[in-house]
Amino acid sequence: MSCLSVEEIYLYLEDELSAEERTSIEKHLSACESCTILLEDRKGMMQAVQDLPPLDMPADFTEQVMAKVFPRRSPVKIWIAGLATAFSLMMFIFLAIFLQSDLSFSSTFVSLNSSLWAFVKNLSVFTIKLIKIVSVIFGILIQFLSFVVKTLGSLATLIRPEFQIFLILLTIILSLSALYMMRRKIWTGDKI
Amino acid sequence: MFDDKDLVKRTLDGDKEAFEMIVQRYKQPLLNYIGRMVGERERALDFTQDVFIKTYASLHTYRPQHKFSTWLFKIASNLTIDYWRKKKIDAYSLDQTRDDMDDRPSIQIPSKDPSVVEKFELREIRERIDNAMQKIPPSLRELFVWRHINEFSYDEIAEIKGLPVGTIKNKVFQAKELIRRNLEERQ
Repeated sequence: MSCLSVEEIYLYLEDELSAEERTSIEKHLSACESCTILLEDRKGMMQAVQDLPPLDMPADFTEQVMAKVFPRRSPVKIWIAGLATAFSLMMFIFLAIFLQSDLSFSSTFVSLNSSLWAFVKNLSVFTIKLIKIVSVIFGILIQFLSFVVKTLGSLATLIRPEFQIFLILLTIILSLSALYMMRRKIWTGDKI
Repeated sequence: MFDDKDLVKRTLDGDKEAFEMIVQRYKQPLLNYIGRMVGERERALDFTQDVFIKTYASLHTYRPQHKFSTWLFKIASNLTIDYWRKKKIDAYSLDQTRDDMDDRPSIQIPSKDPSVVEKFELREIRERIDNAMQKIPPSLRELFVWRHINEFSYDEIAEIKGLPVGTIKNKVFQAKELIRRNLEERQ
């Protein structure tokens, strides 16, 4: 048998030859040093290729793909879609009832208009009452605060100045600590 | 363990978890292929994502008589071909003759020197092979990567490319010898 071609060597290494061809090549290799060197050279290269490490995959790759393939709709959009659907449904029902009844367009619109006016009137009365209640609560709160300030003023005459400074510092430290602990809740709305 | 065809069917029936399993199964092989084709990791990651998005969009066109992996890699291959076309690198046709391979000797005279990979440390060998791979035409590199990194059979590669097995074997052989030549030149 003549010396092996490089193509034959590759096919031998990849086990792509028939049993008969393999036997013939192995027989030749056992007697031919130059073909054996050629084989070892290609074998080394192919082994190095197969040992190449896989490329780095980000840990959240699957989540990224899933988010792109199945995008989540924002809650606001879902609400808007829901309201639009409900409104369309109401209009459809209204139209169906209207077509089934003997009512004329003008009388229906007049009755609708009067209902809307009554609703606006009631809403206005309710808003005015709500403003009155809020202003009363605000007045009580101001009276309470002025009482607290006066009490503190009278206490200041009884306590020594050093102790007053100590109390003020203690109050500031406690307030800052409380704000620090609540920061995530205040800024992001997350649970602490 | 679900096979690919079951997962495709379940995905088409609206099961998101089934598609997630497909992504888990094929993300690494696809990245290994696309990464070697485009040469930049970040771009390769974007392309791999695009392959899955395209796959989901065209999943209804998949026919179970074909192997799912070959169908998936065909999508990936089309994407990389588009990339090379946009880069205006006219090196993707498998029909063109490789002039630099025409003068290759059919029998090489082996030297007694250490083989091309024996001289280097492992890390250096890997770097050199990656660089040598990047230097060969994309059309040959693609077949080489499928055969020796993704470990597809010649029949599977022939199915993806729609070419005879003999042609694929010959092109993979050309790719290997070009890579070896590049390795030798860098020594």
